[in-house]
Amino acid sequence: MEGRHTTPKHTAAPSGRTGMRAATAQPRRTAETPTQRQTAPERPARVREAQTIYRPDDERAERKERLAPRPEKKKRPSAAGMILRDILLVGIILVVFAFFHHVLPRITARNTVIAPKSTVVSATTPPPAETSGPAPVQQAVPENEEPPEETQEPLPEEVDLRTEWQKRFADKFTDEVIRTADSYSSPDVAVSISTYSGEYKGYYQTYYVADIYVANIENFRTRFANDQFVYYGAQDAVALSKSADAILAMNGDYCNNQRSGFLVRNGDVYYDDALTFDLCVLFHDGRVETYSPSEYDPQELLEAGPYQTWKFGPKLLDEDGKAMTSFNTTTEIIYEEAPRSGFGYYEPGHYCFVVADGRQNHARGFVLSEFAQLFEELGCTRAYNMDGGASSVLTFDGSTYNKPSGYRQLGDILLIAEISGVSREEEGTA
Amino acid sequence: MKRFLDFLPHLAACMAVALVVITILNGFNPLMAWLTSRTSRIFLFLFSTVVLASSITAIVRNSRR
Repeated sequence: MEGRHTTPKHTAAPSGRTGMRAATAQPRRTAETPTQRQTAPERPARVREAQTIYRPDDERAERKERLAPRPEKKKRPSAAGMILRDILLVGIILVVFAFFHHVLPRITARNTVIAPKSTVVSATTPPPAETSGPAPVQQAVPENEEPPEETQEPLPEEVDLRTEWQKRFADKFTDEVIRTADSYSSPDVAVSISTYSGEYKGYYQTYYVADIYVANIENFRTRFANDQFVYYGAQDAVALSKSADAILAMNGDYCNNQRSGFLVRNGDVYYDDALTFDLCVLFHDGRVETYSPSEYDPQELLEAGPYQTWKFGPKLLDEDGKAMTSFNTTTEIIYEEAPRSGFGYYEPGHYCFVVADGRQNHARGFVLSEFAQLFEELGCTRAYNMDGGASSVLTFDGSTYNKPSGYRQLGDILLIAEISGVSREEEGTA
Repeated sequence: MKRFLDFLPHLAACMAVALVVITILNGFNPLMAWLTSRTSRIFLFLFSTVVLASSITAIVRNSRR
């Protein structure tokens, strides 16, 4: 009956805390005298253990412990929650990266104008007349006295003032400005645009070939957006061509999104580092060369007198004027049908701009190998790929000539214009 | 500190996914300097640091076990 005093827990749980308590209580049992041990009747082991274990203090402590608020177990997030959290983190990382990679440089560089390092002096350009020394003193002429007639030596009739290119392409230039919907000719510039729309190599294509003849290399110019070399600077294509009084203009290589490379524009050197891309150079003498990165040395090129350079690429024709089959680019875009812009060279003074529409119903667009093939068929000896996609724009006479696949502002353009800077309005009144 | 150490592998995984995305974008348009810009270089350095810290933490925990 002594077993009634014990709680069921005590009897049922010999291990753990109660077990330990039993172990600590063991010496008390050994305090009994030997006579007691002998006279006491033999009890069952279970009852004996229960008797020794029971302590009112222990019960109170245990109750207290049971009633005490247990620390809440931490809830582990579910797998789906964890994945969602990680996806969110990936998004945050990408947004932060995009901010520092794209947005912040634009904000900080918005008003940073990059000035050219130096200017390449053409070997063919005559040196300017020396202005050092005292200025010539003009003799005072009395008011009543008529100034002596200037004796001008009559020019010999044989002297031909035309440039070499004007002579070579005499049948292309005209004495007066003649302008039609798709052509322009003057004493210095001859441009005619041909539009091809139809099946090309099994696909419906539309592309525009602007055949260009210039009398001087200065008729072939480039222009940055807003006429300043600013990082990430961009301007509407038509506004840009109008601001330059361009007869014909094509998008360039968007060189102002990079802070290195080999960049010369209108004879001004901005960067003279080596590139990993193919380079296209228009020299002051009208030649065009395309180079792989291993084929040129920046210093040697500078000495050769570059007038314009482009660093988009890749080059489309080899040294024999044959279409390249493999291109120096890692981008997958070359395998896609896309709107394309390219610059072709026949001989000094004779060039072409080719713009192909794409990603539209009237034009599929060209893969790069097809585009290279097109330049070979046109008979170019050198050809170079420019920025494409929505950037592919050809403007003529102050309006867009092709059908771009989207609207994108341009960082720079290649343009053909009169050297004299005669505006269209002045021409019209002439 | 324990929380941070638990979070490290997640951070490393997320940065790795972001790097994969950036690499794919670079394939489409390398001229945008997705992998060669100063920001990219800093990102790669941070990623390497996080992976290193995460690896060391994992190694220490495994050895304690």
